[in-house]
Amino acid sequence: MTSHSDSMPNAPPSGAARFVRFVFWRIAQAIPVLALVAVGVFFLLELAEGDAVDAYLAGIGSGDAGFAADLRERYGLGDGVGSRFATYIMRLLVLDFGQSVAFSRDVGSVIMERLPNTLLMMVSAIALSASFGVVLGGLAALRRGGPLDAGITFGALVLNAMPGFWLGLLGIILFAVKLRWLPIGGLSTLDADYGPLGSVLDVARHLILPVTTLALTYLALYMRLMRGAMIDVDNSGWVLAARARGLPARNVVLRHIGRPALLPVVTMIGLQSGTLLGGSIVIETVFSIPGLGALAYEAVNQRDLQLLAGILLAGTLLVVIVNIVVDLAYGLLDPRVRLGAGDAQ
Amino acid sequence: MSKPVLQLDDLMVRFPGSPPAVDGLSLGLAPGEVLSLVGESGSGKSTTLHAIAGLLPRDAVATGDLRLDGRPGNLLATNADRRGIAGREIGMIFQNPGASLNPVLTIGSQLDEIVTAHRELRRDAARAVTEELIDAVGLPRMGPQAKDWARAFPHQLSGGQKQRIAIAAALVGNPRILLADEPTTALDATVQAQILDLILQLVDERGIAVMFVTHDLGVAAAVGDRMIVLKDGRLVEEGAARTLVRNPGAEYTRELVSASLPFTRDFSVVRKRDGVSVGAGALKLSNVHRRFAARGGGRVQALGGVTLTLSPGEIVGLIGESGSGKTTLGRIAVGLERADSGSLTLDGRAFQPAAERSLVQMVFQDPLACFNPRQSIARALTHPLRCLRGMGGKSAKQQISALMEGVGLDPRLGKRMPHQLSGGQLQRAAIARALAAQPHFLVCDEAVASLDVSIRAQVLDLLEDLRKRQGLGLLFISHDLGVVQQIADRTIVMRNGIEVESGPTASILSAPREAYTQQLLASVPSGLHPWRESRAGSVLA
Amino acid sequence: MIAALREFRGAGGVLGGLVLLVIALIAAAASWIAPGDPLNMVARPLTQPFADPRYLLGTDQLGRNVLAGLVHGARVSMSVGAAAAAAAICVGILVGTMAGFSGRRIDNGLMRITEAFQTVPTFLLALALVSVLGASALNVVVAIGISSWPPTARLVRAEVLRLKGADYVDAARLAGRGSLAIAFMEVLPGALQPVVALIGVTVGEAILVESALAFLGLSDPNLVSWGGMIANGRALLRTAPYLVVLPGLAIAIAVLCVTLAGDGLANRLGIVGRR
Repeated sequence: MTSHSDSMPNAPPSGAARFVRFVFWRIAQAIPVLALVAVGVFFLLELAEGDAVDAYLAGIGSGDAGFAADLRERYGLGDGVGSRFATYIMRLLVLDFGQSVAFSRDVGSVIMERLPNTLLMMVSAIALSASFGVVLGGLAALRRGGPLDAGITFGALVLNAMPGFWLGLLGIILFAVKLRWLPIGGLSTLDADYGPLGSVLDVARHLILPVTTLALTYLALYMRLMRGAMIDVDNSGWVLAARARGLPARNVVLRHIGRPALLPVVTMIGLQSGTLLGGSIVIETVFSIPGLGALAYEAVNQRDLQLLAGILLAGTLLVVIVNIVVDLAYGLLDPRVRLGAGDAQ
Repeated sequence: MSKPVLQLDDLMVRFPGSPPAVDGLSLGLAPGEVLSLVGESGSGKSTTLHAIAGLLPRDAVATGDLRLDGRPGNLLATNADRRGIAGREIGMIFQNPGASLNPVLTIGSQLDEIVTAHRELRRDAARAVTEELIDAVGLPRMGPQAKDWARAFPHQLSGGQKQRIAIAAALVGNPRILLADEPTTALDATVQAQILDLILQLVDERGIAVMFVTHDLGVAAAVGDRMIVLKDGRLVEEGAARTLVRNPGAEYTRELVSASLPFTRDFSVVRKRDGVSVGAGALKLSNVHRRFAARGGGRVQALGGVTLTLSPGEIVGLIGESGSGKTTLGRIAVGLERADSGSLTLDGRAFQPAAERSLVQMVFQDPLACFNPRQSIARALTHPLRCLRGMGGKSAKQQISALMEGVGLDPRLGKRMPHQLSGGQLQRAAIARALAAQPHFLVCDEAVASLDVSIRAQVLDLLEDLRKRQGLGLLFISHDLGVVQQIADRTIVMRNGIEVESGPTASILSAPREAYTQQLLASVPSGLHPWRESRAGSVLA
Repeated sequence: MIAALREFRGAGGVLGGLVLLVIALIAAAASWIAPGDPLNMVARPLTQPFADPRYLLGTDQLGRNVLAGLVHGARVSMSVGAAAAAAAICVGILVGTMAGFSGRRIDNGLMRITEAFQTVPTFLLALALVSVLGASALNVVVAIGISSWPPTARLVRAEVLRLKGADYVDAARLAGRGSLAIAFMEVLPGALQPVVALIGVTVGEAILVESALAFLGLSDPNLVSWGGMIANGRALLRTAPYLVVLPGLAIAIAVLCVTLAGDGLANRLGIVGRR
């Protein structure tokens, strides 16, 4: 006698097909954003006084007029804004980011050389801050109103207020200068040969302070987010229902409160990746780590605008990729966006 | 009465900073009986269930004596041992079936979890029990409508299907007691009927005692063996359910009974109205179509060619379940939505409601949402006076006072902000605002659905009075047959964007021609007969 | 316990506001409290803190008074931070309002631009802008403003879209109000309210970005700033750590107070901010 007027949605396409479709859709969505950033970077370069050739010649200390004209021809710098723009876009399309003055090399290759170090730092810092943030924020939410919650909440506020580079310097003063436990900077010990395993440990030892600093500056965000999300979910009907159904407290906390509360945290990882990359500029400078951030600082110091523009574009691309990966992870955690590519927004 | 399976004495529940939510309530629940708890909002009925289930928020203080048959100790004591109670002794189902399931886990995984928690089973063995349960609540794995329910996520199910799953979840641990907290309130009438059938069938089979909380007297009296009427946290009256409805003892019960009409189930008795002149100047919507962009692409039909005539001084009821298109039709009539095709005429001439705002006005469902939270009531009332009638200054002020008095509101309330008024007061103010434009027609979109029954009766009286005094034509949109029975001269039944049937309210309700209307009528619980009896006698069963 | 916590939050807001007021007064009265150019050498280099009552917090390697630097630095950090945040919030409100009220096409376009600005790493953009525009206080304000408006824009747009569909806006339409009145009197006041919850965070963030830019040497060379002082002290971590510790403490306290005061303000107005 029961009738179900509405049936379940049609069977979706197979998992792999949906995955591929989602990835393509997400990449297509990123293209206008990347194009806008490329245009923005062009105008930023146009804003600068003198062109790249002036800077380049100043950089190598040569004043040969013929050489300058040659270069201008090659980069279309002698023409009007329109044709300069066209040349710029054409170059970008073949991934030619121009010449670095400071390094007298192709910008692309300089960036590729530094990228792995930054990636290593970023990924470790994200993993560290998100996981500790989830645990601490979750604890604060479970003990809300108590002294632990007050402590964690206040700690988050204080941590949020401290400049990352200062935190790094405090770390150096304490752990490198006073206690001499950790190296003061750099990515590895110079002129040392520890063998393959030793080198990895050496790099890890050098990364402890910078990664911790970077993670600490973003820890507060995840702590507060997780705490808020847990409290939100705790007030939801399904948690009340789970308690009424007599589920063990462990299941209620982990499966019914914790898991749904992870969703905003995952979203935030994507949103924050740009900020984190920005934050690594100062941290890499403080700890003399040869990454993308320190490279940006060098580019600014040497007025190497081609290089700076290249880093801006590369950084944006990196953020876009991180966001796509995060969206895919989100799809795994939340079935409501898994269904069709079109609903995800 | 045989030895009660649950005995509650002198329950007091307090939330910080407010008067007691439950104040000295005592009740007993016999094995296998269905006890209805009925009351308006704030009567403490849900709080009582939460106190019994141990689900009160941390800042609530509950005292009293709660004992389960065969278990030692008072469960309300501060250090009471509640192990093995939730799910095994007491199962519970909730009002909003969507919210009671975790959105990120499959139905099967959630049920498996409960099965492993209550029965000594490994995870893989649990699935078999889960499948059995899903089948038992009327979601078959085999047959024409079979699905792999266990692998579905909650958002892929309808409200009724989710409530079935929630019932399955409550029954996993074979509880002796089922607490049902308004389990059908959020559902459409026909779905509500199915869920009531299911609950009664399951508890009967398993000999479970039920505490059924509802604000709907009809439902309470139909499903309950006994009934308790609550008001402001206190017990008003207790007795055999149908007897209590036929012969209410307490004054409050009597009021409640007279305010909740549908239980009479005598649909031929439509109130006689005097002095209603159905004259010229009718508003007519002809062959109206409307489609909306659907989520995930494509278009969904909201209206598939509906025609409706509304004369001054006439009240037309528009009945339908969710998705029937009744609200869209109302919004088109006031010009908040446009029709894709079809025509609107007024007194025979083409009519654009958006261009002539003052002629058709609207009263919304949620009175709090339809006032700007940052503007006082009087300010909200000035808008139509100024914009549509060009009034200002002193004359507007006088007019506001007159309007508020006209709907039975103290004009001094005009200074208040919306959140400082009660729901009933706000809905009166909303009616006053609609009347300020001096409309010929008023569209009431579920205008009494969010009000308690006693307030609901007053607002309906007010609307009836306005029609008589001012000759207003009312389009009364509702999902509630009882309300339409009480107020409408004519009734139109809608489903999936088209009219099912229409005619004088009395004949629609007493002699429906269409199967859907019959089904709809059979879904409304009569408080005078036990639910299953009336279902058995209904046309469809 | 919850009440106590709420009280604490209220007290935090008041305390933060008071300290903030003191910092603002010090900043305003900087040339009166510490007369003369804080960049001038006034005493023996590297006087330790509390060693000489005239230079309470010591001097740096060039014999400049640290306390005078902190006092004058407050002026730069606070005003640049406040101005940059104000710029960011104004741009955000403007873009968010336009996107929320415009048709689909303009909304889409504005949202793509917002997304683009949000995708470029914020600090990298500010760094690039300052290095192209030149390191002046005004340019720092412009750079931070340009790089940090997107969150406000997104919030305002979302609120406008939400309120546009509210029943009370429909009611106002039926009451015959014009579309401009509806936009500015019915929708915007409600949509802008949650922005209050963003003020504290945005100002705090702006102060932090300013200090980081100054730390990297991208600030007005003729003005003292807290970030610049830290950069300057960096070379003497072993011998004079106070040159790094003190200005950093100043930044942390200022940002903490701004955040607390902003939270307190939002709570006062009954806006539950979670951002």
